[in-house]
Amino acid sequence: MKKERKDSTRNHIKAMLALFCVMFIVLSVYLGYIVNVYGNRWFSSPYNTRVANRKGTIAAGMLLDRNGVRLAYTSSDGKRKYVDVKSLRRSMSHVIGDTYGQTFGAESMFAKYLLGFDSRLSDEFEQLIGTQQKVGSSVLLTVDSELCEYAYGLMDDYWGAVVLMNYKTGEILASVSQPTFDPKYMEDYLNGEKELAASAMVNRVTMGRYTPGSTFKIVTMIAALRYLPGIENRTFNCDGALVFDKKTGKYLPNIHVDDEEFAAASENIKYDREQEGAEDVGAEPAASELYSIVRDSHSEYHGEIDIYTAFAKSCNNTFAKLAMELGPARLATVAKDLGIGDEFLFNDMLLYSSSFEKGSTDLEVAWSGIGQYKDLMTPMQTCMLTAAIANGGVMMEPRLLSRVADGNNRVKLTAGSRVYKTVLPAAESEIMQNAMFGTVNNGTGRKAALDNYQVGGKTGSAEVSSNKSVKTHSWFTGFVADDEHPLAVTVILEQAGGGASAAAPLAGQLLKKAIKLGY
Amino acid sequence: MNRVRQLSAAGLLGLVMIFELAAFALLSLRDESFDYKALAFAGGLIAVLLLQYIIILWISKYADRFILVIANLLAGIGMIVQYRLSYEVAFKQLVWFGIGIVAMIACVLLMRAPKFFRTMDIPLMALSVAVLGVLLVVGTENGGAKNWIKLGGISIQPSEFVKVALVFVMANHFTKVKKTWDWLPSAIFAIIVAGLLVAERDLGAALLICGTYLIMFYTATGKIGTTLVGLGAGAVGAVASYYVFDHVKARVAIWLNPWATYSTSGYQIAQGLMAIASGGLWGLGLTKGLPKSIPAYNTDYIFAVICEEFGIVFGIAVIALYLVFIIRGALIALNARNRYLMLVAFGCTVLITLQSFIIIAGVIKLIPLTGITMPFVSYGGSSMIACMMLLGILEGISIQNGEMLQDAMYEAGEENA
Repeated sequence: MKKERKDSTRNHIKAMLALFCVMFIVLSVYLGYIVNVYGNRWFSSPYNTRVANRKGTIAAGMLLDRNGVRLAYTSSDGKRKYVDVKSLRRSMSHVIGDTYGQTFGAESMFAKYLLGFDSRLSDEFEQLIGTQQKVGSSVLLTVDSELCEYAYGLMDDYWGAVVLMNYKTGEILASVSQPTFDPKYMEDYLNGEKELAASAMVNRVTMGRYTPGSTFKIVTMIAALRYLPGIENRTFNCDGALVFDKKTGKYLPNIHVDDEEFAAASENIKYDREQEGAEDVGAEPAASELYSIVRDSHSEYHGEIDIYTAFAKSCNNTFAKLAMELGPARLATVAKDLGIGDEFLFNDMLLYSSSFEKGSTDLEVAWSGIGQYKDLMTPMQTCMLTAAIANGGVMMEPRLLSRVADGNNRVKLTAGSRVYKTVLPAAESEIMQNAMFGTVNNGTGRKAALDNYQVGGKTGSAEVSSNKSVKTHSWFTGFVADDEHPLAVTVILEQAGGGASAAAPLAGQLLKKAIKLGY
Repeated sequence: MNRVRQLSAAGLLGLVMIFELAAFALLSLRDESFDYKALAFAGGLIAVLLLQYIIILWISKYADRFILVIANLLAGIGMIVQYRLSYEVAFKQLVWFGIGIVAMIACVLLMRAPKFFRTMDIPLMALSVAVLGVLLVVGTENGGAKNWIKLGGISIQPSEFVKVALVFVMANHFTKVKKTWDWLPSAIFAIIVAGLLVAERDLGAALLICGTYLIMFYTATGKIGTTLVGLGAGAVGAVASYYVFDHVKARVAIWLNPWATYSTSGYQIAQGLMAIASGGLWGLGLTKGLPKSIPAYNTDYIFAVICEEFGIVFGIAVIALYLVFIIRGALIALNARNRYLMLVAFGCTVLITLQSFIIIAGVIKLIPLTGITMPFVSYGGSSMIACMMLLGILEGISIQNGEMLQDAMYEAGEENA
C-alpha cells in the first residue's frame, strides 16, 4: 500500500516534470519568436532611448539613395546634415525621417545600422585601437531621389501620396507624401519657430488610411471571379441609380429616381479637410427623405455591358449589384485573402493595416463593394495589391533598404527580395491584368497610357464627405506589363476630383519617367 | 560512472569561475581608470563559491553538485549585472548571498532530522498567517504591493519565507492523506495565505502559492477531477479579480498593448521589450546597454537587462539553466527515501519552477506581468535567502538519498558475503 502510493506519486512527479519541460521550451521559443518578429519594430521605436543615447558616442552613418546620392550625413562637428537641394529634402522627407523620433523614416527604422548597433566584433576592435571617431554604417535605400523629386513636382500642391515600386522585387523606387516637411528644420518645427500643417509628419503612403473608392472594385471583381462561375459571360444592365430604403437599407429594384436631385440635397453638410487628418471617415450615400441611392458619377449610365466593360468604365451600378449578389461574407473573405486587414511587421517601414468591414444591410454591402462604406486602404497596400496582380498573384514585401556598408565602404549586408504571400492564383491574376488593361486602353484610365508599353490600372474617385459637392479623392493604381520594366504605381490626390482626370495622367507621367531612367 | 559525474561537476565549477572572472575583468576596464574593486569583488565571489562547494562536499559526498553549481552560476550572473548597475547594491547582494549560504547549510543540517519540521506543522501555519496578517496593518508599500516590513533598518519580505513554510505544511498534510478530506486543512491554509497576499496586492506571490499548491495537490493525491476544479476555481477567481480590482484590469490591458499607455502604466513592459529587442541575438555587450531606463531593473526586470547586454541566446541559456536545476530537483524527489521527503523535495522544485517561469514569461510578455523576483538572480535579501534555503533543503534530501543507497549496497554486500 505504502509503496504503491509512493510509486503513483513518482509517476505524477514525472508527469509534472514533463509539463515543466514543455513550459520552459515554450518560454525559449517565444523569446526567440518575439525578437525575430517584433525586434526591429521595438528597437526602432522612438521611445527607445538607447538609440538617442548612442548618438552622443558615435557619428551616425550616411543615408544614400539607390544611386549613391547622399541624403543625410553627419558633419565633422557631429551635427546631422541633409542634402542641400530643398526640393529633394522636401520630396524625400518621409522616406528620410528625422532624428527626433517624430516620424518613422529611415533615420529611425535603420538606426540599428546608422548608429552601429550592428557592428561586428572585428569592427569594434578596429575602432578601439584606431584613433578615428566611431562611425555608424551607411545605408543605401532602394528609392531614386530623382524620381521622388519628379513625383513631388507632379503632385503640385495637392495633398496625397505617390508610391512606385518594382513588382518583382518589392523595391520602393519612389515614395512621396504631401503635405511634407523639411528634415533640416525639424528642431524649428518642434520648438515652434516654423509652422507646419497639422498632419505633415504623417507619411500618407504608409499611414494614410483612405477611402479607396472604385480602386476597390479590384477586390470585388476578384471575389466575383472566384465565387460567381460564368461571370465573364454574363451581361449586366446598368440602367440608373440603385435605390434603397433609407431606413432599412433594403434594395428596392423596382423604384427609379432622378439622382441629380439627390446630389444637390446634401450641400448643407459641413466638411473641413483640415480636420480630417490622414484617415478618411467615410461618406454616406446620397439620400432623400425616403431613399438612399448608389449612383454613377455624372449620372453616366452604361446600358447593357459585360463585367470587363463595367470594370473598365468603373460602373458603380454593376459592381454594387455584384457586391449584393456576393454578400458581405464572401467579400470579407476575399479582402482578407488579399491581405486587407493584415497586421504588417515589415522591418523597413511602419505600414498601417487597411480594413474592410462587412455591411449589414443591402445598402451597406453595395456601398462597401464599390470602395465606400467603411473601406480604408493605405496607398502602399493598394500598390502592393496592384503589384501582386502584375506579378502573377505573388505579393512581394515592400522594401526600402538596399545595402548596408561600413565606414570603409565595405558592403556588410545586401537586402534580398522577400515574398510576403501569394494572394491570388496566377489564372485570376491574368484575368485581372486583362481587365486592368481595359481600363487604360478604352476605359477611365486612358490618360495613364504609354506609347510603347501596355499599362493596366484602375481609377478611383472616392467620396469622402456626405456633402456631394465636396470634390472626391482622385486615385489611380496601375502597372506596366513588361518584364524589363516591372513597375507598379499608386497615386492618390486628396480632393483633386475624378481619378481619370488627375491621378491617372500623373501616374502615366511618372511611369514614363521611370522607364526613361531605366527602371 | 560516479567518477565521471564528479569530474564534470568540477569542470562546470571551473567554467563558472572563468566566466565570472572574465565578466568582472571587463567591468574593471569600463572606466578610464582601472577598477580594482571589480577584481576584488570577483575574488570574493569565487572564494564564496569555492568555500561553499568544499563545505557542502565535506558534509557529505552525496550532495548534488549540479544544482549547487547552477544556483551559484545564476547568483553569479545576478551579481555581475548588479555590479554593472551599482557597486553598492552588488556588495549588499554579496552579503545577502553569504547569509543565504549560511541559511542553506543550516537547512542541509536540519534536513538530517526531518521529523522536526513535521512537528512544527501548526506553528508554521500560525506564524505564516500571523505575519502576513500583521503586514496588512503595518506593512510598507513598495512598487504597489504592501508586502514589506521594516525591522531595525532592514526591509524583509515575509512572503518569501511563507513559501518555504508552505512546502513543509503541504508535504506533511499530503503524506497523511488517507481519508477523502484529509487534505482540506492544507487547502484552507493555502487559500488564506493567497487571500492575504492578494489583499497586500502581491499578486505574483499569490499566483505562485496557488500554482504550487495545485501542482503539489495533484502530485500527492492524483485526484485529477479535484485538481481541475481547483484550477477552475482559480480561473474564476482570476477573472473575478479582473472585474473587481482596477489594478488587475490595468495589468491585463498593458499586457495586451503596453504601447498604448507607454507614458504611464505600459512604460515598464515597453521598456523591457525595447531592451530585449536592442540586445538582439548576442547582446549589446556588458556595460554597453542602457538598462537603467527599465523600472525595477535590478529586481523583477533583471531578465530584460540580461537579454539587453548578453543577448537572447544567453537569455535562453539562463532559461535552460533553470530547467536543468528543475530536472535535478525532480530527480532528488524521485529518489527520496520516503514519501514525505519526496514531497518536500518536489515542493521546493515546483516553487523554483513557477517563480522563474512567472517572472520570465511576464517580462517577455507571454503572460501578464506580476511582480516577483527571479530566483537566485534578482537583487533582494529575502528572496536570495529563501531561494538558498530551498537549495539547502534539496541538498539535504539528496545527501539522505545517497546515504540510503550506500546502506542498501552495504547490506547487499553483507548478504552476498
